[in-house]
Amino acid sequence: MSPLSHNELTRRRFVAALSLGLLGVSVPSFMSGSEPVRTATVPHKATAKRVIYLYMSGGMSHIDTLDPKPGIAVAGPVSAIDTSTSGIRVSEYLPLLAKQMHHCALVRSLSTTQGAHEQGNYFMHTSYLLRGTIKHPALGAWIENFSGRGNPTLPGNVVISGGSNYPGAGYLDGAFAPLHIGKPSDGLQYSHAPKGVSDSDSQKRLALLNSMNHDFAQLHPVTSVHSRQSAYDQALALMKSADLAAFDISQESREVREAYGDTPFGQGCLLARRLCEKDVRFVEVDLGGWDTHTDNFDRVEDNCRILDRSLTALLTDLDKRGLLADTLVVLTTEFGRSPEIVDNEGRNHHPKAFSGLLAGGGIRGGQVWGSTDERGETVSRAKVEVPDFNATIAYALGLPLDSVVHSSAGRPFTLADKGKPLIELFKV
Amino acid sequence: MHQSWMILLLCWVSCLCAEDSTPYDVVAAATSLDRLIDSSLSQRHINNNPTASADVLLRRTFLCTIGRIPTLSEQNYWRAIPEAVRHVRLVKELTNSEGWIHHQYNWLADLLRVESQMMKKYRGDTYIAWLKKSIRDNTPWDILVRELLTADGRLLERGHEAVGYYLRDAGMPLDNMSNTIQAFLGTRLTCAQCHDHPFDTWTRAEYLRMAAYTNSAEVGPEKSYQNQMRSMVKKQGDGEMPKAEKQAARKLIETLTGGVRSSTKDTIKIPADYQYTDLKPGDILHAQTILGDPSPVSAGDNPRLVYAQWMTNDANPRFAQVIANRLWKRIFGVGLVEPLDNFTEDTKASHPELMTAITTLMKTVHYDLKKFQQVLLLTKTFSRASSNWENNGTNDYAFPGPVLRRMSAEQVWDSLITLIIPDPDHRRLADAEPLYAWYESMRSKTPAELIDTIHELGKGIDERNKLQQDIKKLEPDRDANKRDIAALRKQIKQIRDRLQNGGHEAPPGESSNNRMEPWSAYRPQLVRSSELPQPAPMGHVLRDFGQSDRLLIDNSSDINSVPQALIIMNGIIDQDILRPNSALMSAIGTTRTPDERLSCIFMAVLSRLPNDQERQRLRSIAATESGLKNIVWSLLNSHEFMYQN
Repeated sequence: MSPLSHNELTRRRFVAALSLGLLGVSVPSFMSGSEPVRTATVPHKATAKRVIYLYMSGGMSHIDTLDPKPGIAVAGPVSAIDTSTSGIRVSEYLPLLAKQMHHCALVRSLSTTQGAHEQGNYFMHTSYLLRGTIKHPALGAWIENFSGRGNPTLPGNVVISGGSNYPGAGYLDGAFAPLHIGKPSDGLQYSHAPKGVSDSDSQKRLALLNSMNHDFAQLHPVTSVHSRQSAYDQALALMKSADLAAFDISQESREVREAYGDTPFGQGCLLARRLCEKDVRFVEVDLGGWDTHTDNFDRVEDNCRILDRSLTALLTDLDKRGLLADTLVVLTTEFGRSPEIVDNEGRNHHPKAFSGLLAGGGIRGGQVWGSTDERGETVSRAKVEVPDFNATIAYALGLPLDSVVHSSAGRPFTLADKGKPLIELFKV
Repeated sequence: MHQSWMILLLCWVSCLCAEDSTPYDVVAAATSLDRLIDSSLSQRHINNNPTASADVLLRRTFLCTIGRIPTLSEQNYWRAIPEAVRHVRLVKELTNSEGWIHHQYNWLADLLRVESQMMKKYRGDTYIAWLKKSIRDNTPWDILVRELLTADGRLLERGHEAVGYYLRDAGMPLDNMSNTIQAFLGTRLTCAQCHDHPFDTWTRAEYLRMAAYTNSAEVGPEKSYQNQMRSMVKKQGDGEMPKAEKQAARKLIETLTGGVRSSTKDTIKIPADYQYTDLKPGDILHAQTILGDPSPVSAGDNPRLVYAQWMTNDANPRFAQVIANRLWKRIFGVGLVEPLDNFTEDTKASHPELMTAITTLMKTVHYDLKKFQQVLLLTKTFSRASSNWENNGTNDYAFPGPVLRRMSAEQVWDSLITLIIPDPDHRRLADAEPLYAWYESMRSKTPAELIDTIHELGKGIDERNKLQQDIKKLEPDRDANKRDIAALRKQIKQIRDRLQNGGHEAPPGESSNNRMEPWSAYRPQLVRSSELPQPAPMGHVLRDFGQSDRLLIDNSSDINSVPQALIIMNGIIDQDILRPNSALMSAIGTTRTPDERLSCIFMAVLSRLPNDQERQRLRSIAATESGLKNIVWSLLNSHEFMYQN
């Protein structure tokens, strides 16, 4: 989308929910009957210190999860259930999460222009469209760019079970690229010198390495070589970190591990909580399998069983530990899925309307932002574009949305590409 | 000197082309490309890079053709051959060796998103074996692509394995179409899947017309077979099938009949969410291409054949150009058009004449990818020192030589195992034969026999589920119940083996070659990347170094990262390379003096001798066992090892 069309859309975005604050907690905004006001000025006070970002890879069906349409054909066999917030209902596939609705703000009016996985995933993570000529940074790198690390010896940006071409640091400092953890139960592998190698040998090895690398780095002063050096520096700092055990979820009790679910995603959420406890600012955990072109209902139900248990455990655990107040939990995906049920009980990609969720980190729980039409096909109210959603996360962290950063070729960029944060979602 | 060189070259060229009906002069073709590069450099007032050293050229040629560093004995062999003739012979031998198949396969697997397990349903073994065979046979690119696009039949039936290309995207015909156009025509249609393309000219309707060629092919298990089985079960009349049997039957039919059935239909219906006014939802569109010849389908024709012929025809404006540009980048590090798969009408190559020349070359060699790459490898440009060049989105590369780049994940792993096992190119792990054999045994069963199998499998599944429940009950007190849990696990494994043999799951293949000499003493997984599961599991060196997850086209990454540093510093070196029986340590064992050891280590890891300074610094360190290991460690962690210079 060009900046022009984006501005145009935000301008067109109507107005008016002063009522929201007055109506108090639980009344969904669409019940007030008018569009919410989008204030232009953005006061800057962080309500969150860190983010746990749960990415549903493949395109999560909104209709079968957070935006149910019970009783009509598009719903298929899925019914809706009540939640801990009266007036808000979610899919029957999310019975545990339903009981945590008082912590959550549902965003039911997300909309993207990108209907293919690679493009949609990239847009959601970076707020910019995928182009051949530039790599944009993802949110975790932006956070480290503006706020630095929360814990000086741990990485500021960790991605658990992410894809092989996850957008990294883009034109920002390569050191802000995420640390990838493949299998959360393995933690950070190889973070100790191998058995039988003494400290003195380790030091000798490093001294030899430095002398080997010195000339090469001088002869080849390119970003790639520089970033490799920086990866080694970070790896060595990590190996010495007093907080290295944060990566080891086996230190949790069996009860806690079971509560999160014995799945890579569940264990990833647990690892995310441990890292947040040690002030890692951005942790993303991915859950794949949402590309339900066939067997949509079986597969969404299976995936929801994983998501429901793990997300609920995460929210209650963070709450119990007093971390939910300043940890923003985000649930999102690249696009929704079609109201039409196609051959083999499938749903196709549906970028026009989909849902996300925000909880903790200063978000006022028990509310719904925006809505879709009766079939879940288009946004009927308070459309949220991808940059707006990301601006909301950045706003919670108190990051400067208007600060311009230039790429190596001199092109100007901002965090969230001029998206407008949904400041009404936050506690007053 | 110059003349004798030329004569030798000509001799070689005639050998190279001896088996061809129309001899083709690869050296002359390389020279004419050099001429174009030279003239464009002089227009830009840029000098060529100096010629690369013999060491650098040898290592680079190995990495570019067979995807790994040379072994010590390979280096000894090649260094004994006079430099004047070495490179041409090297290119010929390596491009005809086993290593070539591994390296080409890795490239193709990233492009085609090859998976060992497709859609969590279909085993990729036979498709992978077929792709490797196509590389071994050097099937021309246009023919290979036609075979993929027109594939039909069952995945496990010999001669039909190419259906893996469609099963990879089973249930997603529209995505499969976009992927096809992106992979082979370098054109991104994905946007037009849902709406008119914002930056290119494609409309959603054009996209749908394109999709109409493949939309009617039936991809997945055979519906007719499913129905037959269903009515068989009904006839037996014992009411509803138990859940476990249903599961077994579904899985069995998927494995047995998974594949593609052609259709002569070439139509697609406008979907309900169509947002433009030119057409209405429910309207019927006929197949039509997006570029060049519109290629309508005549009644009775196979639409996928028409589509494949249009795609691979010399007249297609992008087919030859896109593959030529992809391979150019593979050899030199930068494409003449970047990115490789975002061609539009406005696309301009950095060197338009050169782009035209290599596109013509691709057609002239009749899409023989080996010959095409031989030409590029024999250019003077390939033999020059590399440049420190980076793409910042606005700068073109002038091609005074190849570009310095980090090794790919596969090159890293394959080079590491070169230091561990002997003869790495011939050790196998993957084997599709058991799967073919399983298929042959199952397909000959009558439906009644299959029903019996399903009953049996259902019982097995029930039994397995029950045992799993039993384990769950014992889990809370894991330590006290250790023995019982182990016994139950063993029983489950027995059932699983039985299910595999009986047909619920096809048996896994592991080549018997894996445990033969000279490899019996090494872990089975110490094989080249292409023999491992596709993609390798998370946490493997390959994944840490950016091997593609195979979800998207060309999804591998060469970004440096912390886990890479950790796994090289603290993992594989001490685990495998410094063990006494590794290829490297065995070679070091045959040396007598610290100087010989140093030479051996430097040659094995960096394909060069240490310089005087390095010798001086390291000689005394190499005298002790631990010092020697520390030197090996530092060389393997060095930038120099990790970059293809």
